[in-house]
Amino acid sequence: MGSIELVCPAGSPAMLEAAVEAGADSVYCGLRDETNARNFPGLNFDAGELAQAVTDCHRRGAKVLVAINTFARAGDEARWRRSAETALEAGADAIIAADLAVLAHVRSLSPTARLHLSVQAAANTPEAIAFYAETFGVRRVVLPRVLSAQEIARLVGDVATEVEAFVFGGLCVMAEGRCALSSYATGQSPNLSGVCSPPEAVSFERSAAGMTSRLAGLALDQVPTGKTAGYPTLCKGRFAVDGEASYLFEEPTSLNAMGLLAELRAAGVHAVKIEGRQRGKAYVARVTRAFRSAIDALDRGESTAPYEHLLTDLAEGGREIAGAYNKRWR
Amino acid sequence: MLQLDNRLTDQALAEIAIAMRRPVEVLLDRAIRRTWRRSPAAFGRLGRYQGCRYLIAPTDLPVAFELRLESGGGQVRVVRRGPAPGCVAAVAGALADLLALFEGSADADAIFFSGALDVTGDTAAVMALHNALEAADLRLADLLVPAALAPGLEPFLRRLLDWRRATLRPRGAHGID
Repeated sequence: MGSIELVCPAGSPAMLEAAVEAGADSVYCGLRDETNARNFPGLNFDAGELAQAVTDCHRRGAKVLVAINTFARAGDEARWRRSAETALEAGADAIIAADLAVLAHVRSLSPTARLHLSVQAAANTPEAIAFYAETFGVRRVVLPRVLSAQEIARLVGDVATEVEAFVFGGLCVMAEGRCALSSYATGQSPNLSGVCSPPEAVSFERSAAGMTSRLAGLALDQVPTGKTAGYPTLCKGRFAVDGEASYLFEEPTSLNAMGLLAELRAAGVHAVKIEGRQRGKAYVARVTRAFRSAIDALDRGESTAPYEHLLTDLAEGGREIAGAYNKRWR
Repeated sequence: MLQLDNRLTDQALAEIAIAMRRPVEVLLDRAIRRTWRRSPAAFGRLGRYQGCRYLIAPTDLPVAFELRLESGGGQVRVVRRGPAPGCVAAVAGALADLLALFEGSADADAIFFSGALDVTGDTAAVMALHNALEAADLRLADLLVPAALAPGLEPFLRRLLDWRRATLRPRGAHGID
């Protein structure tokens, strides 16, 4: 059984350096515009930085996967075409895309370019994955974070592509690429603008009652001073229903599936992915080091247990869960 | 009565710090210029927030700092604590956490999740500042001591900061389900 590829986030050249130094097999990154789903102020790469990153990574035996994973807006497709061309010119090892137009454009530019299907495509059936593989030559699919480990095992057996699964970081319980919560509140979304809860629309207010987070003026949550908080997104908001306030969509927690690495590897998952291009070099260094140690332990036939609780303080709300991987409901 | 005494002491300390602020400002201004010379592209990551003022307010110091970064360097001013109407955003937290964020050895989101960091004002401006500082690759000694002493003092300062942050937030304080 081969080792699992460790795919780590690089929101900037500094993060990329930290990830590779800590043992990433591959890093994924995006260009500094709305063609990638982490289009935040001060983040991402320009064309020169991307080319340099590819050269540096290849020298050190690591791969660079470029995310062009938002959906091209009608009438403004040139921006997405340009990003695809820039990534190929830089020598990217793969392009991660979800939009049919982007996939088609990359394939038209290069018959051999490696394409990975972004989680933003929300492809979770053998039929959907086969369509992307047969039509565009997609070689790997990044699975949505809503499947159980058993469902992934069944899926791997039914598809011809490699499978990549998220194992750490932010959770998304929506049909990815189709969530309209951020658009509803702000007019901008991860799907079209590359931002979920654009920071321009986010505010935090301190009062005697604690901290209130708001998105475009809508109160999302209020936590007492000194208590743990979650990301200011609508899906992590606390809403009152029938007089009772609760996290209606999703608790403010993070995914940590390190304890399921052995199961995922046995199921035939080719690569595991760390979420968090918006975090920073301290985050990526710690998470990469912990997962590198765990994967190396697996390869030696040892347990991952010594590494499973090293990252809890990095979790949203200070709490980790195994997400849908262990779900028993449907 | 004790509370009143503490307030008076804080106020007196603040006034002393304000009166003696110039050497600190000079040291920090030089550190910013050195950083700009070393990584000018990092300052570009501020985008439209270049030249904007940020209030950095350590909760365990009697004074705060106004920070402005722009092409060529920038400026730090020691100011009295309190509202800063000219600033685009304010970040408040323990000095050790703020220093760790400046040099990129701590994860900003994790500190924020833990409730130990206050962010007010333009959230996008704070995000741009964070990403610019990450790219600048600051060392702790760059911020705290003259350049000539920085290499020798860095390991000592690092141990001191790690110790201080460990006392602020013991590990293993969070649950796992």
